[in-house]
Amino acid sequence: MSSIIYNDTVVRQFSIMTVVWGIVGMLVGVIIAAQLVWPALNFDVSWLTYSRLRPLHTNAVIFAFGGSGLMATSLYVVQRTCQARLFGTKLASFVFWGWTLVIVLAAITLPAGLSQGGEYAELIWPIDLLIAVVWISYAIIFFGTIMKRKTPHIYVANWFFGAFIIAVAVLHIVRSLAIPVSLTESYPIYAGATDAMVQWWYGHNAVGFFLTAGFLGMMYYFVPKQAERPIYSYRLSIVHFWSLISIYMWAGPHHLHYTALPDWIQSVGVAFSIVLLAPSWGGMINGIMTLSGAWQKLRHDPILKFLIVSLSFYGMSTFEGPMMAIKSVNALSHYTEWTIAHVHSGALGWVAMITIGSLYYLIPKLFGQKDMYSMKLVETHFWVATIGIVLYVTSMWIAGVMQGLMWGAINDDGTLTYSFVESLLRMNPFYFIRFLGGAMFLGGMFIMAYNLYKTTENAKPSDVVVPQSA
Amino acid sequence: MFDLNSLRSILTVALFVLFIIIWVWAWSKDRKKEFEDAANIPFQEDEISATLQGDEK
Repeated sequence: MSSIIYNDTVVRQFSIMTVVWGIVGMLVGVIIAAQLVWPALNFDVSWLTYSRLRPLHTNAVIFAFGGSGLMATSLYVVQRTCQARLFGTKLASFVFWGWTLVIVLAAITLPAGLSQGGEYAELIWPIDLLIAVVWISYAIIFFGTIMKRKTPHIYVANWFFGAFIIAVAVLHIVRSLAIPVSLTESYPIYAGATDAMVQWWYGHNAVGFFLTAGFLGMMYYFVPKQAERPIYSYRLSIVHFWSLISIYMWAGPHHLHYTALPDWIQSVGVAFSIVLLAPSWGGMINGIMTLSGAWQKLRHDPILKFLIVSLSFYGMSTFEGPMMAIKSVNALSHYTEWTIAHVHSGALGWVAMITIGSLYYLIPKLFGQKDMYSMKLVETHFWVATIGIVLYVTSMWIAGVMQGLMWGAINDDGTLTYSFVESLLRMNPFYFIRFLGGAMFLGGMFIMAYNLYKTTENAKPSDVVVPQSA
Repeated sequence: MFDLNSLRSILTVALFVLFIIIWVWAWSKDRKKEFEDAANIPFQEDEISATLQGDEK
């Protein structure tokens, strides 16, 4: 027998860091949520102000937590479904340490106030260059493994991971094109409305490819594995893939309704955003229906609960998104807390829940254990996290709709009914409920960290031999 | 007459037709077996290790 083993070292590294960065990113989120309730909590220290910590929160949860989770799962799935050891062992190690360096640099520069200003594209140009190099290395090890595969077919999860890797490379490089004027300052090569359009082409496709396609890759592997049955319809997954990736690219302009962006581009954004409902729900149904005929598993298996509830949240937020992209709805929702509710039903409900579920499946396997140290704690984590999300999302829905209505209210003589401060005062109780919900979700991550520690405490990393299929 | 907007319309229709073609291709009878096998790729490994363990016993 051959003694080639899978490269699970890099998978282990990224898996553990996913939990660590999750705690860091969500902690910063809870801190800024508390600052909105008690503004004195910035202590008049510049690097503790909301404006500095908010980009740190978004970068940490999306790129550090989400990114590490995606790299861990994609590098695991590509090896298992191709039945080949990961291409480029040293390059894989570079991807891990390079990505970690990017995160550390972000955690230093963002609180220091060094920013390019684009949402989710705040990092300064030297870090952008490092990201590009690390990301291309990631693409090389991923596609290198696909080229080495022993299975004739490329499994659908790898299509989604592959699209995510290619699209993010293109998005990041095009958005980050800038002319440096010093080590920390640069100017984007685009101007005015063009810059705004490039920004939201990037921003919305970060949602579409980073936060959706990649995590759908997770869904297409871990849901079937945990449910112990193949995906509901492989044919649907093909139509799902091609329609999702072709439609997402055009939805970005819905972030710029009623702005200087030409009207026709806004309309294109609306049309594509509405059409997006179809592939999104096709994918969600495909995932959930995998349990068809085995629903009772959901009762006993907390990991499946994480995975299936994440798909329910995915379904909800991909219904809400197209609705909010319609111009008349957007007139009410834009710039209000409703957007925050929508983002977090996607980010906590879909992205975080499917990542957590996948990690609970993955971690015992990476350390030669049958299960997590305590499945009871997994169950507790599930309920704490779910209740936390519900508190977060419902409070922000109410706050957002109220804000939109108050801002739009006009007296008979054409003056505004409410001043901005009046609407802000009404937000206070809802900001507190949001803080509680966020704190609960963070609490769940601490339960996970404890469970992870106990699972790996006396376990050795396991070496899994690559099977030599006949 | 024929201008840039006609080209845009043609492209839109062409992409829609391509979408239908993908759909028909995915559901064609010839592909049924191939896709059923593909759906089982995540489980191949379990089968192989099960067979290997079976051989050792």
